[in-house]
Amino acid sequence: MSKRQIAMVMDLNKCIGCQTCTMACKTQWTNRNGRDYMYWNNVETAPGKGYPRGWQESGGGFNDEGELKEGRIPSLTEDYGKPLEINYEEALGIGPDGPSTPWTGVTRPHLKPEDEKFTTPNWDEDEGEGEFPNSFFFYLPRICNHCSNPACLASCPRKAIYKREEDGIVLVDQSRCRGYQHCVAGCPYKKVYFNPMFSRSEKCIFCYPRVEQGKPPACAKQCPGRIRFVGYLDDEASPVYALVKKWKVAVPLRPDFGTQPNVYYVPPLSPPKYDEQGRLTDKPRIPIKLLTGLFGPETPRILETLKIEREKKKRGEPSELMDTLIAYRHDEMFTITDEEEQGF
Amino acid sequence: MMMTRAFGYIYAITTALLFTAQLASVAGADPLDEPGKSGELIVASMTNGAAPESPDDPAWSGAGFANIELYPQISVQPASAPGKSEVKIKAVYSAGELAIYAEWKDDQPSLKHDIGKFPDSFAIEFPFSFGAGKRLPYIGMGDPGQPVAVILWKAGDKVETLEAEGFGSLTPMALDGVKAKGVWRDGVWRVTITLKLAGLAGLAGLAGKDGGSKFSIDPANSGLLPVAFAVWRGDKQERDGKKSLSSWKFLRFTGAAPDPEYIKSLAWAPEGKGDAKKGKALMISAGCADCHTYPGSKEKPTDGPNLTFAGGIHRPQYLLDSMLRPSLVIVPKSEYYTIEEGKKESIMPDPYFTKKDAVNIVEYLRTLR
Repeated sequence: MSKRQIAMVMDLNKCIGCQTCTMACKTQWTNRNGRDYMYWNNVETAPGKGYPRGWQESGGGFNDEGELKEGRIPSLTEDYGKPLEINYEEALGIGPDGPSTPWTGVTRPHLKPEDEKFTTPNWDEDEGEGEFPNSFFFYLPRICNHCSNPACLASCPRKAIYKREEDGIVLVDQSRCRGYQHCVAGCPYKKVYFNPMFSRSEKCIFCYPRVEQGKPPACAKQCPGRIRFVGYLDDEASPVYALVKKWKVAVPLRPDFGTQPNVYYVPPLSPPKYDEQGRLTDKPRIPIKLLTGLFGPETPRILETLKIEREKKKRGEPSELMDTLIAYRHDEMFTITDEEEQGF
Repeated sequence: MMMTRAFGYIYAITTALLFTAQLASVAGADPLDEPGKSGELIVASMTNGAAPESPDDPAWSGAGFANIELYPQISVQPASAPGKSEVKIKAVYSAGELAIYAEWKDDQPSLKHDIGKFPDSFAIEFPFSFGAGKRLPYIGMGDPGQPVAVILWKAGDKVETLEAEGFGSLTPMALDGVKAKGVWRDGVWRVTITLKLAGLAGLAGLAGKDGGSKFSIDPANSGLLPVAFAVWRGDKQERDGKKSLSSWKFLRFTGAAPDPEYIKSLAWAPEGKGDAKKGKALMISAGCADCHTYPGSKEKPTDGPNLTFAGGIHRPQYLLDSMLRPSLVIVPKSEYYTIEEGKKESIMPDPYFTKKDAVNIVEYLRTLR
């Protein structure tokens, strides 16, 4: 356990799957130097295969006795998706230095990936499950959970992964990692990635250089949906404390993995189902079993609480919980520092 | 039989003298014949030309093979799948260099270190210091206070020079002039690693980091250099502890004369020869199978290191120490020790057996190979 623990809460009622967070992280950290295939932040569609594909069934984490469970290292081509090389030059006449041979009016080749067979992340985006008009899905943004009992840390025979005392951020020591990839197999969320350019493993760093300056991670700052809250779990003035400890409406993803994650989710309410006559019922479209499988047995109580507080607000009554979740101001969402956040 | 202490001493000395006499008694005998017979010697022959730098170098044709048994690493997790194998070694040295040739079977060459992929690798391990009266480092990456130097070749001819004082402590070590070349053909890897030697007289050219003599070889014992080998098969996802390793062997430099005291100290010569049958029975009655996996144990406990290949991987002196002074070298898995007063204590109490019983057990363990 570290002295302090920084944590993030994501309100899944507000995630619109715009992938701005994904792009914020990718352009900040993973668009170069062997990291192209990595999505330290990804937003997948639930229910769905996720990124990497089948991560929930890929093993790792701990069993009930606290022993590490065997996991597998995902495949680049089948599970992560090999970044596509596209025939821009051939199809568009655009080379790396600008326009190349202009077209002479003859049929040109179509723009397409150079590999005939390819897999990309999120190929199942927006598919979900269910039959119209009762189909359903929601978006599940994921980053490294900076767990309090990290399976990646426990998996490393060289102790090359460490958890910072001052904020609980979990990092791979690049000077000690030798690329054995036990951590990749050990993380049940598959949020550690091997970098083939440097032969070392890497992961979400919770934008610690930003955190050290009192700023929230790039993914949190950029989110237009304003779904992310960042603060220290012991800070009673923080929305993270309010949502996780006081209201208890934010819970970890797959707590059964045993790693004690520090990224929490407010589970999503969903529109009601239609019956055969086309009338609205009082059953939610997202099956409760899917949600309890992801977020644990507290989910029904949490959804009930959200409904009640939402109704209060609709009637014009005050609701502290709704005011917190509405996320009016950045400096109320991100409480890493006492200084006023340059935000809106 | 009752022995007075004095008689006991005379008995011991006489036995030791007789043993020494045995070593030298055969007409013109080389005192290194004994370790030679037990398969521990690798002869490094001298060449007047340049030391070979590639497996196809014709200089190798004059040197003979030493067939070295390799055992899966099963003392700690991550461990290798069971199955013995073999690496064939040749050694040649010139005025300035030592060249080691290694050949082993591998149907499936693995060339890349990539996502879920690991390159075929080969390593040579030397102790930093050795000599008469010095305990050899723990075979698996050394132990605290007994560091080892590791020359690690990976497919693609990447070579690293490293040092370690136990599992998980590998760090880069500066060492100039190391060359390596590997060729895979028809299911066989052939690798040559060439190291600089500073002068024929000593092997002190294997300089340590800071140019100092952290990795120094006692010149008095030049001529007999402890060495061990490891092989990783990438297609079996082998890396770090998932590997096959040999026990400590000895590179014998023809043309150099090792210290006879040193040679003597290498022999396994306990007072009174041990009885393997008694040892096996002792292990059953002492319940060793409660913590150690070895042939015949029904369960596969992991409270202590797996002893299935104990005789092949470990020298008998180490096995004896493990029973008489278990906290001397603790195989670094957290279940194998507790911390008492800030020090690591093996969960095997110290000592676990009388010396006589321990010697009998060692004789039995030596058969596990």
